Amino acid sequence: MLSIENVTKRYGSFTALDSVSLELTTGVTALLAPNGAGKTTLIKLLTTLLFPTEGHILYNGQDIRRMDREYRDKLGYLPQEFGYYRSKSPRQYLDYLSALKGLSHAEGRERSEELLRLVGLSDVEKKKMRKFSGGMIQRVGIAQALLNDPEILILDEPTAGLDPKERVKFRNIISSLSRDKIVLLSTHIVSDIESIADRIVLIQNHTISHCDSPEAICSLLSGRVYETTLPQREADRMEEDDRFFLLSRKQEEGNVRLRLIPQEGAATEDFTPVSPNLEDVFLWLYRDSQEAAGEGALK
Amino acid sequence: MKPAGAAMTTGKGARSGHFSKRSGTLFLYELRKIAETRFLPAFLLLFLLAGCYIAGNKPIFFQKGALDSLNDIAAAYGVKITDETRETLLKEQAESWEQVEALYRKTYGEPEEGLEAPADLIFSMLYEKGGYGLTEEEKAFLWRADTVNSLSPVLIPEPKDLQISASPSFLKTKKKTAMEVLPLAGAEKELFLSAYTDLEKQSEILSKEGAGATLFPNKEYVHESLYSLIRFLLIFSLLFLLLIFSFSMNQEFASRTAPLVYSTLHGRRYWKYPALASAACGLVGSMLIFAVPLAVYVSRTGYGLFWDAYLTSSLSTQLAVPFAPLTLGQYFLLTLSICALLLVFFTLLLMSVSFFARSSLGTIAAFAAVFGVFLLPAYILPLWLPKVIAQCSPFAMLMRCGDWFCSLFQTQIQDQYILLPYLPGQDAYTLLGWALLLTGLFLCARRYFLRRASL
Repeated sequence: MLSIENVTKRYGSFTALDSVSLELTTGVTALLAPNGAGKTTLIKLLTTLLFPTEGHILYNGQDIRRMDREYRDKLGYLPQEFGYYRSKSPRQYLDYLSALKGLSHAEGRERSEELLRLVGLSDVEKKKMRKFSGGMIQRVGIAQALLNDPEILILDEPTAGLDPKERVKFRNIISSLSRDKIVLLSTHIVSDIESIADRIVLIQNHTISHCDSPEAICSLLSGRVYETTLPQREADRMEEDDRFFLLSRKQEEGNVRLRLIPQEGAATEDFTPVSPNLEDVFLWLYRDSQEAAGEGALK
Repeated sequence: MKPAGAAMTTGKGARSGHFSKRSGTLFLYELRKIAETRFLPAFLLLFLLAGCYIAGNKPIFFQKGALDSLNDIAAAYGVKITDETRETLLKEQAESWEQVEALYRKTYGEPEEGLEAPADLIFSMLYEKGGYGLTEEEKAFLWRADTVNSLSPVLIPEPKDLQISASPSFLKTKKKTAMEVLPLAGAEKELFLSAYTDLEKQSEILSKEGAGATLFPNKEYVHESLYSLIRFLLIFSLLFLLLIFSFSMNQEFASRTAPLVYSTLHGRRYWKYPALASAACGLVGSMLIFAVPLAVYVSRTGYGLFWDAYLTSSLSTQLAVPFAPLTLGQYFLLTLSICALLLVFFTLLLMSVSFFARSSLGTIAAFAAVFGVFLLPAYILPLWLPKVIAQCSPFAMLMRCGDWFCSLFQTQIQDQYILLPYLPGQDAYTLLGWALLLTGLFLCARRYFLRRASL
């Protein structure tokens, strides 16, 4: 178990993370937050690229800073801005990283072959990566994260750049791995989270605001989300009405279908209650700061 | 997806918490990173600068005359000259001294301070002033007087030490020159030629045995050339190392692989292999730069025994050190060893600074402290203690190593001999070297700071 205990990270007077406490167990935990909320800082703390200003991060009761190499040996990490050596082939690149990760030559070779096959790059394993598309590079990144068979897998936007087929394949790989691994998945793609996450962590104002199952997170808006179909003009008027928080708008046979959250008492008979989804919650929770003040009322 | 899961569990069983040290692989990858990227232009630039330096030091590196007179004397030592010839030469020398002085006064006026000796006057007229204002006859007279002067040891009836300092090929050339200059004829000429032939044979035997020759006279020239090469090597090794080191340490940052590499087993302080690869490249690169002037030097002077020649320096003679004079080859190896040790020390220093100063600001502060405490007082404050500390610090030694060598060995030489004048370009070149060195240091610190800040 990976425990984050009252962790605060400051850069001078700026607080990037404020008293964050969280426990990560086996399974997929999704990290959902808007840009600048402190998500990347949390990931860097978990990958020992940064150390907390206050608090501790413990893995099975041991401070990861003290564990040092022992902890990093259990870690697989795919950064958001995944850097690579353009002049190297995937095979060379994985060989280099397997050396960095402490794998023997034979073991590294075997794992590289295995993983390149897994991510569908066996046929181009000797081509230089400068010729690769974004999706192919991302697949190399996924392979390197799995090289040392990590107990903790941290993936920052892993499916960015992948086509739908590759994304589904990757989700299935993660799902199968999560049986005995701690997987932390940071992504903006709600469908990825909905399909594989066991828990969702929401970061707001540099601290964790919610940590629960997807169903429980969705239930935050239970009975508050409606859909209605209106003529164009009325839809435009409603969109500008402060009593309604618009979630989505879709053109439908000359009319407009709106998905929205009305203020208390603002819902009319034409509104049809619908089940909230993660996207609804994300949009509602991370609306601008003035609207965020109303969040307490929702709870 | 079963195969994926199965693959992962297979891997786990094989690892079982064991770390494999693939030092060779990591070292080679770091070398390849250096070789595959923008380093080649930097190397070519330095190579060009090296060429400029050699050109700027032409009198030191390529002045064949510096070794000519050495062979005059060596040849003379090997020649059993008759009493009659000796007397002739003595007489000629005595007469020529007066003529030389008169010629100088007539052409250039009163000799400057330090030009009291006739040999100095000859040197000044022929070498420094390039024979300006002299007629061809007067020049010929001076060349002859110079040769006679160089044959002074011949005038000593029984030279105690027979020194052979020239290669066989050079002796052949010298024999030809001597025959043109010396007033020899008949049996005496035959004797002279036969003595030269003996000398050549001895030189050949020594060459085959590998015993080497002794570069005894005119050692100041040899020393000066050697010290210049040492200084040259040190400065360029440093520049090279700093450039590569700076590049290598910046590589992860530039290619955005830093988060990935520093989160692996080897961790965020992944210094060792880039540092080793940089040091190796720095040394190899400077050796390449060094090899070119040296090869030219050896081929131009025709000294096959160059490496095995002994250097009777002020270190071994004046300071009476209890070991045999070093050969040029040993000097060279010693220099390389000192360079390598200093580079290793410098790398270790950087590594320890990185280890102990865990924040970017702390690292910068530590660098500033190292630089400030050990170096700046020596140049800014008129305090002798920090000056002494600064002189003794490894950092200062690294920076001043060439000067240190020179000051150690040249004290006596400066008192006794006229040193070759430095060309104006050499000063400019030295300044350029310092500027590059400081720029390299600045870039190294800046990139290091950026790298740390980017994590």
